[in-house]
Amino acid sequence: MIKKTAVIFESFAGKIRLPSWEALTCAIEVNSGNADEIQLILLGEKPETLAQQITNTSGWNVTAIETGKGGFYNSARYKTILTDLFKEQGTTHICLAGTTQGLDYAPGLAIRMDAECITGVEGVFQAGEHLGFMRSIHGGKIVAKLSIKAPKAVIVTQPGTFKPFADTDVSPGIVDLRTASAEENPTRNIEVKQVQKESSALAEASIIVSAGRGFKEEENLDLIRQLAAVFTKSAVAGSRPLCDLGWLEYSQQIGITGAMVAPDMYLACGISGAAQHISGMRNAGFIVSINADPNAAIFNYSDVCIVEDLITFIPTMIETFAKLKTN
Amino acid sequence: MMKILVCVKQVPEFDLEAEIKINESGQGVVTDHLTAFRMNRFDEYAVEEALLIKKELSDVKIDALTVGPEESAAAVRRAMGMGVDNGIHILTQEGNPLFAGQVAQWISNVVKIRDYDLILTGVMSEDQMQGQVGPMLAEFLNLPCATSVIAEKMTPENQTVLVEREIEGGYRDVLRLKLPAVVTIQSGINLPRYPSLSNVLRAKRAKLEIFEADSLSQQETATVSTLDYPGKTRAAEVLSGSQSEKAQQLFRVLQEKAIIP
Repeated sequence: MIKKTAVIFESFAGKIRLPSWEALTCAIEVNSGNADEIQLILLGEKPETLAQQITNTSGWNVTAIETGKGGFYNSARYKTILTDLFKEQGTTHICLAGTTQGLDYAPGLAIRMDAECITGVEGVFQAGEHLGFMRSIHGGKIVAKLSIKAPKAVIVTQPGTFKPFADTDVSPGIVDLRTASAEENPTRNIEVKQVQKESSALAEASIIVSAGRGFKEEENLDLIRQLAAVFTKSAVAGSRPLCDLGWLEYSQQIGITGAMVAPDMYLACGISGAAQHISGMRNAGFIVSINADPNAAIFNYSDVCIVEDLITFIPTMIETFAKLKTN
Repeated sequence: MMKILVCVKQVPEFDLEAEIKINESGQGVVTDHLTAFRMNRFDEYAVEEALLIKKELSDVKIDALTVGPEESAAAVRRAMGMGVDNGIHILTQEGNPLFAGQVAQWISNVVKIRDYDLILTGVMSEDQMQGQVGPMLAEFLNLPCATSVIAEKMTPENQTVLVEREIEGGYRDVLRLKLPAVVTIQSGINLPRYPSLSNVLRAKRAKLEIFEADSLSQQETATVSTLDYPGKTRAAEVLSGSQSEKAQQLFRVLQEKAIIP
C-alpha cells in the first residue's frame, strides 16, 4: 500500500500557528522518517505569502488554497475543499494540529474520507505492519496505544508534544496556488472577536504559580497568592476547572484554550495533569509539582515532585523559604 | 414545537487522588462495585444549555440519549432529573470498548427518523478526551456543526442558531448555523443545575426508549487499543522527608538552578 502523507497548516492573524510545525514533525514520523512526498496545505485569504514562508522553511511543496475575502475558517467549506483535494492527490494520511480549529473539522473530515480519526496524538510507533499512535486518557493517568489497521487516517496532534519542525538545510519547493469555489453553505461566518486580552502578566512572568482542583475550596486559594508573593516576577495561574468555577479569571487559565506559557519555573499546585493543561505548560524551563496524589499525571512532566497536602505544605514552604532567604 | 436532543455519557468517577489500574484484558481500566459513575461534566453543561433554551422559548421538548451498557442509563436519568423530558438508551454489550465512529453512527441511526432542530453534546468526554462523537454525528446526518461553543442564541424565527466558538488566545469565532445543527458545548457556558427532587422521582419511574446497538449497525473497527501507564518526560525526582525538609530541599534545588537568588 502506498502511503501518501499531508499536513494541513493553520494560520491566525497573519502567522502560522506553532502547533502546525509540530504536526509536520508527526507527519515525518508517520512516514517512518522518510521526508519525501509530504504535501503541505494551507487555506486562507491571500495565502501565497505564508505558503512561501512554509516552503522556504520546510522545503516541501505547498498547496495554497485561496478561500476568499475574510479568509474565515469554516468547517463545512474546509471539509469539502480538503476531501476533494485529498481525493485528487491520493492522500492516505493527514496530520494536523489539535487546535480548536483542527478538532472542529478533523472528525467530520475523517468520516467523509472513510478514514480513522485519532485526536490528542502524543506519539507515533510502529505496531507490526500497522501504524500506532499514543494518546492520554483518564486525565493523563493512562496512555492508550492505538494501532490502526485502516488504510487511511486523520491524525490530530496534541499541541506541545511533538518538537516543532526545524531544519536549516532546505531549499524551497513549489507553491501551487488555487482558488476554491464558493458554495451554498449552512454555516455562515459572522466575525472573529477578541473577548479577552492575552495576559501580559503570564507572558512576562519568570515564575508561574498555578492552582488546580486540589485546592478543593475557594478560600484555600489565598495560599496560592501568598506562595506567588514569595517569588519575584511571578504570576498566579490555574487550570480550566477553577476558571469554570469562577475562582480564577479565564485570563489566568493555562492550556489549549488558555495561555501557552514557558516560564523559567512552573510550580503546579494541586493540578492533576490532563492533556489540555499539559500542552500549555510542558515547555517551561523547570517544573515543580505539589500534589497529594502520588499518581498524579503531572508528576510525569515534572523535574521535582512533592507528594504533600497543599493546605499544610504551602504555609510550611512559605515559612521555610523566608527563613532560608534571610540566612 | 422545537425538539432538542442532548447526548450524554456516563463516565467513571475516579477520585482526584485515585490510582487508576488497567484491567486484565489490557484494553480497559479496572472498575468494580466500588467505582462510582456519573455524567460527563461537559455533558452537564450541554443539558443545562438545552434547559435554558426551553425556558426562553417555552414550546420545547428535550430528549437525552446515551450509548453504553446497562448502568449508563443513569446518565440519562440524571439528565431527566435536571429537567429533560424523555430518555433514550442505545444499549451496548458489557465490557466492549466503544469507538467514536461507531457511537456516532449508532446515534445517527436512531436520530435520522426524528426531526430534532438542535443536537447538543459536551465538547469531549472526561475519560477518553477525544471530542469526536459530536462532529462525526453531524457528518453522518449531514448537518452543520460547531464545536467548543461558549455562547449560543437560538433564533427559531429564521431557523438558525448563533454560536460563539471558544478558540485560542482569548478569541471567539462567531458563526450562524442553519437548523437543524449539532453543537458541542464547552465548560463554563453556564452553571449546570442540580436535579430537583420532583424531577428525580419522575426520572426514576420513567420508561426509557431502548435500542439494542447490535440491531442498529455494525461497523468494522480498524483500531486496536491497548492501555499502558505513562512514562516520564523529565527527571520526576520525588522529594522525601518531613514537610520542612522537602521545602528546604526545594529551596536548594531552585538556588542551584538559579531560579531564585
